[in-house]
Amino acid sequence: MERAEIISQITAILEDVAEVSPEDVTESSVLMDDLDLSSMEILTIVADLEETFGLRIPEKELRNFVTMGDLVDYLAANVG
Amino acid sequence: MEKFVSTMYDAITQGMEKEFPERVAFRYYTEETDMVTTVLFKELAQDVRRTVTYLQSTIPDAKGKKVCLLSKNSYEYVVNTFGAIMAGCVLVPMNQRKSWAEMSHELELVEPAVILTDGEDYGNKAQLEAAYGSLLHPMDEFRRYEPAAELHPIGHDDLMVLMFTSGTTGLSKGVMMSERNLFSAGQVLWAISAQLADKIDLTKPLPGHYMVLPMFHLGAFIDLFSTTVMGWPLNLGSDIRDFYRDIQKMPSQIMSVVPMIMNALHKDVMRGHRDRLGDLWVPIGSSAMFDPQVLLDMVHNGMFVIQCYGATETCAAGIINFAQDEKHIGAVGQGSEYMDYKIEPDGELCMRGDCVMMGYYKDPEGTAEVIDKDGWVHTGDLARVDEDGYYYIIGRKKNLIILDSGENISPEELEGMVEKCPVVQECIVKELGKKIGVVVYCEKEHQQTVRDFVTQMNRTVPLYKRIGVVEFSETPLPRNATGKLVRK
Repeated sequence: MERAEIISQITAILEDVAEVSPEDVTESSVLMDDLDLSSMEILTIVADLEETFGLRIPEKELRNFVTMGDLVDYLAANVG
Repeated sequence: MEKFVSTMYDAITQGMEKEFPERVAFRYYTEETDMVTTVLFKELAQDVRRTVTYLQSTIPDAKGKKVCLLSKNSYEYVVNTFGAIMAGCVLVPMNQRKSWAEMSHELELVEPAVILTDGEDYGNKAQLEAAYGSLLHPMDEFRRYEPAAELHPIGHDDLMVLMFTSGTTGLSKGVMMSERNLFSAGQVLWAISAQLADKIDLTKPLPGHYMVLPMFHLGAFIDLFSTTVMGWPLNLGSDIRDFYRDIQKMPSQIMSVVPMIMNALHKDVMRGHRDRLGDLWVPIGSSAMFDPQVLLDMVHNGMFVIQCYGATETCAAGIINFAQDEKHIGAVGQGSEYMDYKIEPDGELCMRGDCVMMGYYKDPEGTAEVIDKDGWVHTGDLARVDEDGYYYIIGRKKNLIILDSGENISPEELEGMVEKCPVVQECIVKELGKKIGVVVYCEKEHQQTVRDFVTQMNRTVPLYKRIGVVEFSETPLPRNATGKLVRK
């Protein structure tokens, strides 16, 4: 899947779950700091991404999701 | 149940096997089969007996030996919990998501005879296997064994459960609990069921209680105890990610929540998505303070909100708030007849009762700092009580950050990690806008280096421990007369 497409899916979920405006999101945005997400919101976003992309993200990967770019990298590598 | 039983032996042989064997004990959803499995109390009791046979044949002289659980919530978790206790072992539920440094500290302290795991990799599987490979066993091993005819519980005042809590010095402490402690706490919390019994049609199948808080978390653990001993059903969730799915698959009226989850439920309710929550109408809050306005909004939208205030050192028992009115909803509630309460001249709330822990494991000095010679637990919370007997928490004396997720964080531990960054001259970790924040004193040109360091550091700690806010100070951090950092 195209990187741009993954980003647009994530930003749509971010807007729905946490009312984050798409123009505030870049790949270097730190989820908890720049985007002001709580850990519950991050998990809800992960659950929505799993449903959207039809995959289950293993527990130990969650630790690596610190920036928006981390999420995009993981999905780009694991979504067919 | 007419009265709250006082032993695990009675809970199994009287409650589960005689009084309500045909009632539903647990439900859980399995994704692969898209099915909800239902377990009756008589089946649970049989599986507990299988675990007794399994542990007694696996651990030589099992009595008093430590059985650690490192797993997400599951039916097997519950079976092993009760099974280890009925085999006379000491149960040690542990946080499987901790970093290896913390986990290995706890395991070394405990000296386990057996470690039961679900086999998942939470980021520390390789180290765990290298250090404890021969002691690791799968959670479902009990299924291969026959139910034990005899149960072998340890004494009422012996060590039964060991759980970890964040210490103020950085390293976690093991809280020792006896059967007397746990069942006494269960009795205090039984008031919740008594309240709900008035509001629920008991001629219909009993309402489901959704449990997704991890069971190594004392609030969830004591919920498991009191709900199961009462003969009410628990709907098990193993991952908060699956909450919305679970609550549709297993309709639940009651749910134990921490502020982080309460705030998420609040958002759904206020945005008109109440339907996403299914039958849920009783959120039971614990572990940290809640925003009174959030609670009021929930009440105005038809929810019955309950709050529990307690400490690990009192086995989660303490004060319960059933008030739904604006005046009292910001309180932690009124005291229980089973406990004593007092407020010290400096404002610190102290509690006493049979639920008070035996002490910290291998740490008599630490114990003496928390439990005084008259048996009072010094909570570290500053409180006041109003004319109606409602207690309000107004501040903290202890140096701990209590997050919306209910996790207690020791600032010193995170400060130690941040200080590893060579350009950091000094730093202080504290709560900044509901998140863990750090204030760093360093040269101005090094600020980006520090930000990058913290971002990297966050990849090495569990989600709940991440530092979400980094601020800078261009002057040394304020210290008090004794040279300690001023934390307020």
